[in-house]
Amino acid sequence: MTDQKLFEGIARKDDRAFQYVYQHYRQQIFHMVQQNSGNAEDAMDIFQEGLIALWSNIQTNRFELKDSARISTYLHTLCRNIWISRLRKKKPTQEVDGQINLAAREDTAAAIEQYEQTAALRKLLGQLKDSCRTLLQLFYYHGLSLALIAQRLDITEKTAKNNKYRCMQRLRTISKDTDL
Amino acid sequence: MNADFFAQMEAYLDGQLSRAELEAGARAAGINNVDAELAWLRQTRLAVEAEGLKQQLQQQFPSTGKREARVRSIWPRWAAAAAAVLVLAVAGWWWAHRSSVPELYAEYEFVDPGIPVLMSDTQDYELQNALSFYSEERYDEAIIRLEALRSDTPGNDTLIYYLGASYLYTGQTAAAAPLLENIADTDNSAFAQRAQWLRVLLALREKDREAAGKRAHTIADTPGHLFTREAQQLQEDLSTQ
Repeated sequence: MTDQKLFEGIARKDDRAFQYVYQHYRQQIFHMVQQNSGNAEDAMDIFQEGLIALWSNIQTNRFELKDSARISTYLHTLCRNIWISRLRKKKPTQEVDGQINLAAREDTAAAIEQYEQTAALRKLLGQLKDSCRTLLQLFYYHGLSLALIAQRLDITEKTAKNNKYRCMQRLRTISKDTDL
Repeated sequence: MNADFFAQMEAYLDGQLSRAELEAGARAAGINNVDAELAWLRQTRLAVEAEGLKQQLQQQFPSTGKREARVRSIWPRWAAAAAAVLVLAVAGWWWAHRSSVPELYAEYEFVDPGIPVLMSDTQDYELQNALSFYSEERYDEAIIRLEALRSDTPGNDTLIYYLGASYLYTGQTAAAAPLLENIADTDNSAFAQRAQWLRVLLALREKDREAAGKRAHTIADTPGHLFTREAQQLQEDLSTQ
């Protein structure tokens, strides 16, 4: 698969693109995590989080395919920096820097910042009621129309629209309360 | 902010409203900093989608940490002999209480919750709708919709795989078998490995130990297969029964 096809597939959240990445690029990422204080579960989690960071950077135009930009290299750098960030949350900075052979690369600093902000918001989603989470997921992730969501949840379309607004506002209040 | 201006911001981000129209809406709603509002909405939409993507990836790539490899240690001979006696005693108990094949099905069941999105070649709305029923584990409703779409898109591997999985989860193994077979044998399908594992589960569900063992063996021998670990474990469980 060419990088262009892969780029387009990841942007669409296409299973096939993720499968390709898993088959071709996971090993070096797993190795990097497991050689630096992580276990197999950490490695899989970092691989998945790296894919999410890559996807979100494609969505926000922070990552574009150019001659010098390879998806495999970029993904590896993202995973590496996410892993460093996670280790630093667990241990003092000096200990992490001294213990492991990892140096954060600056070329993804903005991308990681974006990822961290999104990750913090993702955590807050857990504080919403189930009904809110379901509605937001059906609309933003599944891409269903309000009419279909209304049918599904046995409410009117207008109620679906108002509830979606309320759920988003609730999320906003929670994020303000937590200083995000 | 009010619900109407919120809807206008959504329409703007989706390319359905011009900047001038949005700013007119902002003035009407008394919003001063449109860009800050847009940034918040973009970020929040991204987070909701990212959370959905995380669930998608967790299902597509089951964590390897769930089943830890068995650790073997090298014991001195006397310890091995003592252990052998113990093993015989335990084996006798275990033989009397061994797991049946249906229990193995429950133990190894992999419920693929579905990718709620987005086909590579099409944004087929109806298919997306059917798959969202699947994701909610409303398999009967998913089957009705997927069957209705099947004749229009006979070669769609996403449709065939999820239809097969739906039949399996509702216990309709005869209907599930040819569909999963089809995908499992399609090398370039992203669903092939999952279909291969579901075929193992199908055999377990039908209490066909031989077929389950053979299929598990094939998976266990495939380097990098998503279900290598489960297949190896199942082989061990089947061989000791």
